[in-house]
Amino acid sequence: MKSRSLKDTIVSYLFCAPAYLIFTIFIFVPIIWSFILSFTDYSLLTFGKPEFVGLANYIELFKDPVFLRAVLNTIYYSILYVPTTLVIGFIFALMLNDDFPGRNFFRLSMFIPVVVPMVVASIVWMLILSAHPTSLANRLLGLFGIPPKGWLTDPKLAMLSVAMVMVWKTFGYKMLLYLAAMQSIPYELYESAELDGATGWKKTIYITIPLLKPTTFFLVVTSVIDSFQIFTPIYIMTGGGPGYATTTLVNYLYEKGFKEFEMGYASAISYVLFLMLIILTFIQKKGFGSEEIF
Amino acid sequence: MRRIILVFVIFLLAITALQAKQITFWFAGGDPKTDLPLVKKYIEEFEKATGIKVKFVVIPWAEDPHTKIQVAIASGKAPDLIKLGSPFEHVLAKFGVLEPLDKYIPEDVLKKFIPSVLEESRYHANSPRYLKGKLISIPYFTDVRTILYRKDIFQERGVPDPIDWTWDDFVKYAKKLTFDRDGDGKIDVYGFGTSARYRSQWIVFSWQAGGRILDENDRPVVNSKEFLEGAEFFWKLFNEYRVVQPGAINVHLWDVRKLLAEGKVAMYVDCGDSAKVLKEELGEKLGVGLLPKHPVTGKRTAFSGADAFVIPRQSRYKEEAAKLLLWLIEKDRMLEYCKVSGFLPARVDAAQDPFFKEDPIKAMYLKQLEDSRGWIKHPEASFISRTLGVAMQDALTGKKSIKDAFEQAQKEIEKYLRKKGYIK
Repeated sequence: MKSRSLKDTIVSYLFCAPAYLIFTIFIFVPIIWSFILSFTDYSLLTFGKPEFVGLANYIELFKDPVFLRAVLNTIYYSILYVPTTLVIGFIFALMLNDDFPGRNFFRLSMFIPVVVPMVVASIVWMLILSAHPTSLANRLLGLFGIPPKGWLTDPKLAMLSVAMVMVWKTFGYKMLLYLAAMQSIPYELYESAELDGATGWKKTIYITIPLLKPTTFFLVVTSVIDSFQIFTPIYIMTGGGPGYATTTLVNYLYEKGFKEFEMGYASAISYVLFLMLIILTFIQKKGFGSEEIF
Repeated sequence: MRRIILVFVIFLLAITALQAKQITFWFAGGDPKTDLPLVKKYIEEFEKATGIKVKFVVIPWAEDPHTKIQVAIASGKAPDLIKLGSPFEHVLAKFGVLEPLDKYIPEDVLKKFIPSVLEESRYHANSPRYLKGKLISIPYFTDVRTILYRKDIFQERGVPDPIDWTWDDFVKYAKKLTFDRDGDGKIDVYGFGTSARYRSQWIVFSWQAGGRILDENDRPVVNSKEFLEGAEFFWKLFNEYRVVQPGAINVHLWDVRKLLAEGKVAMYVDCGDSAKVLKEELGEKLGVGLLPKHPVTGKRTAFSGADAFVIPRQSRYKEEAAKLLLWLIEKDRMLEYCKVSGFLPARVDAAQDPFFKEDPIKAMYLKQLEDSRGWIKHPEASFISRTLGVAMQDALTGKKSIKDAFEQAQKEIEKYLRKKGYIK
């Protein structure tokens, strides 16, 4: 019995081993290695040992106006993106939770942008949001007598446009999770509320939203993390410009690490980003209180 | 019996190891419909002629091949031969990862290259010492960005061909070419299509005015009177003359090309491969001109670039890689490649082919090449490029004046180069 138990344990570990091995090689080791690199002067092309520079990269970071601008831009993007994608995802989930003809078609339609590759979506939206008066977005504005806008070329509009594209791209995923969570809410709760005279709106406010708290917490945390790691649409649509108007932390990190060959400095940026995300997640957890509802 | 089998296996492995001399060739860019099939054909012929196997890997520009090259070198798996976009080889050379090519390329072959183009392949920085003055790359083709224009729109507005013209003519014509065709009160055609996202689109005006990015001691001089004159001229096209299309501050150049094809801009500045694509689409409506001359210096300097071959130091088969390199730069192959791709050959004998002399588009590109300049070869070119690009965009969006934007760029570049030890 004892030996069988040992055998089972070994077999269990063996089953887990590939996953842990992949995690260790491709995630854990790079995390530790980039932490070490953040204290060095290092380029990908440097042979031999990276030169240890202590906290110099971190000190330099906080004197670097472009880095500080990138931090502000990232926060601004996150403020634009996170609440909007969650609210729209929730509203669509609410609408598509009802039973009506063609419901599955609409659910599928809302989810399509999620599976469209980011690069493809960025290029298509670039064409839609072109500053030329004949672009689709500007033609639509023209119908209401509004003059054409430089969606991606006006520094005041560029980040807003990127956030809008990302909301379109991701709200379907939020909708899907909200839908799944809504369907797990016991129907008796709504029935008893109806007996007490609750209307549709009140049921949403007092039953649906509170019971979706764990899902909302999960979505807020993951959306904030996603928003702080925004890269591809900015890289393709605006290149971080005009000026530094849409340069975010990861775009700047990429610029420093791969274009200007300062991998140590780029690693320091990534660790500041990591620290910011840990602090934000902690604050969110405190803000939401206990996840246990039932 | 076992022993016999073992010996046989070892023998087979040894034979295989001896025969399997395979080199890896990375090719940045290329068009799968035009030039890449040709390169594949050359490689197949090379394999047959030499017995050397070639693993051919194409990395489109959209996949950022230069970053992939860095990663490959960092992981110790550099290919044996690389075709990349110049001046990236100068950045690689700074880190000592390239093999000097002087000993692999016979002197009589080198003599066939356009001297100014070949000179761009020599390394002039002090570090690493073993590369100073050496050939770090071999140019494959060169290209220059000149004026592409819509002949039909020029004729419609009574504007002469943009061949021998000055900055003043350029402004006069661009204004005339910016017009409302259907009388609805909105501009339908813009005189000049451009994008401030690309340094190459505006730096030429600073060069034409006599400005430079770095002086002979590698100190930045982007706040010089001449440099600012060129930058301000570009700024005025947006804000004073108002002849550029909306969104020109940060669009992709392919978007501008599309606008020219649609007849929404009358002219713009681009390379020979774009001219080839546009020619197929527009036919005789497409014209190729020369950049306007500065009224005082008389210069019409254009931005030129090249794609070049390099051999990484890590390569285990440098001799074989050099053989393939020589195979590809052979006159007839280079000529055929350039005919198909739309670029200009880096060899004088190939460039003298009647195809380039007689074709009006190619002839104009060759003419513009006579007064052209490549991007700076400084190892910190990426930082300098980013800083200059932001300065121009900040000025165009009204965040700063041209003078303030480039004064700040001057300070930032100076500070950075000092920190990196390039200047004192």
